[in-house]
Amino acid sequence: MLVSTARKVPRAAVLTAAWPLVRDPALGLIGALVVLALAGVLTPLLLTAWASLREGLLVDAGPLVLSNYVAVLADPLFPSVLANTLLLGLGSVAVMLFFAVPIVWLLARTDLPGKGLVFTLLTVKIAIPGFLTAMAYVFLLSPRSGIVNTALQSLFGLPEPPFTVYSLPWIAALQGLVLVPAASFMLLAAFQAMDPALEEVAAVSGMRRLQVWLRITLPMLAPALLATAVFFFVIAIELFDFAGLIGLPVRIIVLSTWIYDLTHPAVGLPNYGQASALGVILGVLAAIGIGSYLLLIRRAERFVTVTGKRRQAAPIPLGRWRWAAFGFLGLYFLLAFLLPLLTLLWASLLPYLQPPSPAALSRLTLESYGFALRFLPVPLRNTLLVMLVVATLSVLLSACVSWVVLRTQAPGRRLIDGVIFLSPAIPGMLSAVAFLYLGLSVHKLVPLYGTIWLILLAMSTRTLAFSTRTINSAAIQLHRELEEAAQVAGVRRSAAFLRLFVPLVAPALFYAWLWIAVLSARELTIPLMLYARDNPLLSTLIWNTQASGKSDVAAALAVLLMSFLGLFALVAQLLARRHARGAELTVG
Amino acid sequence: MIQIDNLWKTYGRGSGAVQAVRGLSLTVPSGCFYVLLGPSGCGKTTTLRCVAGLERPDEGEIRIGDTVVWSRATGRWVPPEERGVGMVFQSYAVWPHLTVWDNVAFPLRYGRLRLDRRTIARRVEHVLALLRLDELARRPVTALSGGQQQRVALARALALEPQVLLMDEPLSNLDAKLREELRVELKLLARRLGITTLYVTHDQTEALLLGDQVAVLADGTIVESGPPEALYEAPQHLFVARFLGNMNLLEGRLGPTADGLVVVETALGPVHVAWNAADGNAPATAPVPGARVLLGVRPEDVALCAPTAATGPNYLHGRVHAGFYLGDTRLYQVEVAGTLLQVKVAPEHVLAPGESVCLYLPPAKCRALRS
Repeated sequence: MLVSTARKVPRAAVLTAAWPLVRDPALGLIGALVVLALAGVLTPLLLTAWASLREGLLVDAGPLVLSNYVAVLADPLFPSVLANTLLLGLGSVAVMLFFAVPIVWLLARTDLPGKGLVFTLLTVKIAIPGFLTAMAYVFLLSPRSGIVNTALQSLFGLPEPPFTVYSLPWIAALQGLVLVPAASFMLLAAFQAMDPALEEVAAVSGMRRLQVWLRITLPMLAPALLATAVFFFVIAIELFDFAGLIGLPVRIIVLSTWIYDLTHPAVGLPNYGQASALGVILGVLAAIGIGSYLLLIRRAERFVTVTGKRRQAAPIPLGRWRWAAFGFLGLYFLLAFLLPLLTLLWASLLPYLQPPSPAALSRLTLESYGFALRFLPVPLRNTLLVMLVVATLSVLLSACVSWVVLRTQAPGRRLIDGVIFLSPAIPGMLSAVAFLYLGLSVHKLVPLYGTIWLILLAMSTRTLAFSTRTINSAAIQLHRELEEAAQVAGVRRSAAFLRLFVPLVAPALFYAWLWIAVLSARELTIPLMLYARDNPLLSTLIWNTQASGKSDVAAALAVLLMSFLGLFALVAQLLARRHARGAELTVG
Repeated sequence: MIQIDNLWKTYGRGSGAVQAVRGLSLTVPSGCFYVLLGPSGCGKTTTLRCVAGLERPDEGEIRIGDTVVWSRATGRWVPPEERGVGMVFQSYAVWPHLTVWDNVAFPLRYGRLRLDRRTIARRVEHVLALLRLDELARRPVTALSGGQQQRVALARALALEPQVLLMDEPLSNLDAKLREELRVELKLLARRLGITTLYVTHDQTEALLLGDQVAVLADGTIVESGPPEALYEAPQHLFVARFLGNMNLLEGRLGPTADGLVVVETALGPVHVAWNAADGNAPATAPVPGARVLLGVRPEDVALCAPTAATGPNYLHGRVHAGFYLGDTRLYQVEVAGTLLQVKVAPEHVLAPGESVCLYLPPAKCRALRS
């Protein structure tokens, strides 16, 4: 009886209803890649949380313990590290806003000449690795040998060096300088989205310009400003480049450098449990930040979306104030761009650091470049491999994610989108610890530890948010019916993905690929945490050369890397102008 | 043939749920051009998308030809790519990175059919010639005008030689002049090919011109269906009378029936309405004397006569309230005992506001509609 009832439903029909994958196996591959992307993003979080509760490696048996947390919380270092970290975040954001808000206002609302150049410089600045800026300022302001200090001391006969870069305010200030371009791109959207009519109404009803600014413009932009500040606070407390290069040698410790210290101790064994506990604490701080960011952004959108038709405001004429604007922009690009660039160039041409002088000019030599070129082959090959593989993997996974999220009814697709969107909040240092722990734990099964593949794996998961957003913004503009037409005409979903979706979003894929290649080459944290002696990247090579005191060779390598990346970014920018604001999630 | 039985489709869940289609049934005979007509949100596009397989219904059964493509009862579901239908979308949905030729050839090459090169070439050439696109075959599709792009979309659908053709407001993105040209072309083509077509539109003129059968939809279900002439001239439902063209509506009560005429007592006096089941003019149910009805008569059916003409049932006397010149006709608002009636006449009838007129409502053109 039961059998005959069941017979009414043809088995094949039930199967196909349940699994479209049976008809279209290639769809399964796309799904698998999406799951892989999700796993890649979540793995660091879960692994760090797990490792923080363990005393051994993943494979070692043992109970879950809280001893790691107890140890770090009870450490006499902890209060000062926490205070340093928070101060670093606040200081960086303050400096960042000091430069970013006027720059964005000039770009969005005034008749400033040469906006295109400002855009290009901001974009190229993103491509320049943060730790190279840090290095340049060490060359300039180090109390012992800094060019500026030496010059001022000999000029005025000062007994003490007037500047020291080795202090928390300097670390925060330099970090703030470097965050300006990314923050500007994020703020620009808010400034441009604001309806100028709201200001004009106030002006027409007799309010003075300053009044309008203080009472209308600023309150309306407040949520966006606050959201940007909070977002970059999260970035600032997890950034390793500055705290590592400047703070670590003089023991100004923040959370990210403490984690590095625990995993790379000068003496004794690395302590992964405590490093993970700190990673979790850093992650919690980031989660609080990103939670408030999400709340704020929702408010900001409510302010912005009130208007229906939007039109461009008439640009505010700067008049003679344009010289003040040029001066301000000039100051920023001098401090953030030109000065570091020239310093590194200068340092690379001299055997030891010295201020410009006729004597110094007579000693100029290209010797350091000779050394640099001798070191270069293996790290260059590795870096190019990282750029190629990370960018390709990230774009491939993101294309699948974007398509599944936007074009299918797959269950859980919104969740996947949300998780990947928020993944930049996962601190890079946390990811690094997680993959280090993973690599060590599975070393006997899969010898990934100490190879470039572990670095590739860790880095690919960190760029997914950027590439997915870039592809999404292109895909959203494609009408759904383009693919439905193919479907109804008998074309399989996977074939439509490959032959319609991919070609149609190809410019976005290409743009994302180029940028991820740049961002992977400038990454320091993950390679530094995961590299082994025999597989250096350019970034770790520069770090180690600098740490061993060969400043001229480090500078030469830095100049080479900077010119390479700057050129790459410039080309990317010229090739894909219409995606100009896609870079908003790139940081520091 | 397309057969839909008791189709239900709800979007969303909980308090935000919208019932887009509610128990809709219809049959499109082979070779029939069937138009689904209705205001936006009536469920016509959802119905079409359910037939295409782009939406999965909650309830009911859909058949295309001899195949059940969806059945709630048996759990059968044929995905869109297996249904063998041709579809034309409102947005044209031509693939912008391909040429005209490649757009038409794409489904033949990568779709279910996977035809050989020579068959593809033959089919593509044939449909491109049919739609007068052969000159443009090698052009990128984005270089074409809107009307041409939609013809490419139609060619792409026809090249599949589908057993049924589905069209979702294919003309509504085009400007008015082009729309008029293309719908005539479409009708002639459909007549020539004799392909079974399900066509969705909100444009009543389009529906009347194209449809062999027209179904008027409201709130997710068919209110009334039939040949366009019957729907326009003898609507059974108030909604249809209002939605298709204009109609003067007067409240009234049914009076006695005699000699195929029924009297409707209105505020303007008694009006005779032809009542003959044989000509399809009568509602399904017999008239119940005393029942409340709405008397309906189209503005173009009202005749003007000299103020001195005969009096009696169906003759009304009033004054011109306002006149409007429409080019091919004139529209007058005539006030009769405090009620404004719309009257559409040939443009040579020139009346001044305030002028006395006599109106005649031909019994054969009057409808008694249930209110």
